[in-house]
Amino acid sequence: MSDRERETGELGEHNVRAVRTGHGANCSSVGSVIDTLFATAVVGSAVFAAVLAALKKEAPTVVGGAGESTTPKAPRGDGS
Amino acid sequence: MILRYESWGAWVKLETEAAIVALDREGVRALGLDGGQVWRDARVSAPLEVHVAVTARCGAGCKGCYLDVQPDGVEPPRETIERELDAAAAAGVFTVAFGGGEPTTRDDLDVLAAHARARGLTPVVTTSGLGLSEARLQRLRGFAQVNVSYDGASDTYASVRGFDASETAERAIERLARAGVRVGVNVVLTRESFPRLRETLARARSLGAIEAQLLRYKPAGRAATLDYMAQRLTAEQARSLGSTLRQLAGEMCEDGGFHIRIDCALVAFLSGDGELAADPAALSRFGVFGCEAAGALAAFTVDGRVAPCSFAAATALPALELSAHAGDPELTRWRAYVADPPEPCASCSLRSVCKGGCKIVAGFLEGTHGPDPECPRVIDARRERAA
Repeated sequence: MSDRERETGELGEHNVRAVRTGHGANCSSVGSVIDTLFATAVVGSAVFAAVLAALKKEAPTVVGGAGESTTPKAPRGDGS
Repeated sequence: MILRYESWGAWVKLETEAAIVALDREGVRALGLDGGQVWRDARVSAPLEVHVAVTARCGAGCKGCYLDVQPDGVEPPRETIERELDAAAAAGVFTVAFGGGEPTTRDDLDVLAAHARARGLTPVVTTSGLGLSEARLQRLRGFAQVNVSYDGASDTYASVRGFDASETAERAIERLARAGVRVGVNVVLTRESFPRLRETLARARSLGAIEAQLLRYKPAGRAATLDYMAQRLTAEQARSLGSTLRQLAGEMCEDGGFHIRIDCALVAFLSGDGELAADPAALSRFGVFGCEAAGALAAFTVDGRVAPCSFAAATALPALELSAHAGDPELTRWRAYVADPPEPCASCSLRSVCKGGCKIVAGFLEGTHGPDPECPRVIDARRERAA
């Protein structure tokens, strides 16, 4: 997380509460990737960096009940 | 990305990365969105993942089948399953995991996968790999991931299932991988399979699996007998899960080409690992889910009702009414327990992640919806109290 992200309200790692990676494909119980817990900080950071990059790039579709803003603005987290 | 508002922000399912992300409210606002009414209400979250029993038909006859399915089990019509998928999508579900029964016995499995995808759902499926003809393999191409049940080679497989079909499962893994299907394996942990876990995972990886999901053996269906006591992990094995995972991850996952997942019921065993128990925030941050029955997880039974999880008895709530999950009294009872568990769960550092361990095990062993009696911390607390 950078101070600039906090100050400008840009999307940053500090906004990510949790990341669940992978699809999993078990039909009887819910699974969670565990090896990233034991990985180096570099690997952990890479996971969050990849997720943030995707969040800034992909257009959102809201499901399960809309909020107030039904016409979302374009993502502005990349600062461009 | 597909985004679903929650009281604390939103869950986001990414399309260019295989990941779902919990974003706080500021993060959601940074995307130009606002949760509005959802953020003002104390709304009960819908499931993120629903396990859909698409058939009760299976000829494998595994001795520990958690649903006690049969070769002549019922198979709901395609239209019924499609309406259930519609209901899941309307409720805001992200992932549907097809099971049963042996899902590949359905000739319309590819149609169901396409139906799910067309509604924004990510379809995944579990198969034994038995009877996986070329036609059946082709029908699996529409799934985001296919997991093959594989508990180990020869005797290890047989010790879990009651027969040895390990080579068939291995061929299925290999063929799926070769066909470009993202394939993982489900490995049931018993006291026989646990000591051979390293070789099982190494074999699966060598065949092309990109992931192994470790499953706790659970006393449901045909496994709800006294034999469960002989099959389940020993207390020492359960306590060593954290250190075992640490070692295996170091050996097999560092290049990122293979991942290890644990199922919700195994999270309680991490209380036996001092390092993990001391850092529950790390587990939360990497999205580890403990018992999410009636929470982030729900199951659709083959007769079209909602269950808290695949191992639990069905509620009266029809699958087609999943959006009304918040008002169902049985699902509410499961959630209420997690919100206010008794000791020793109440003071456990892992409580927010583990959510009280496996209620199916507690129900079978003690007849209560209480603390998981196989959890190392619960065992220690009871031992101290008795001393």
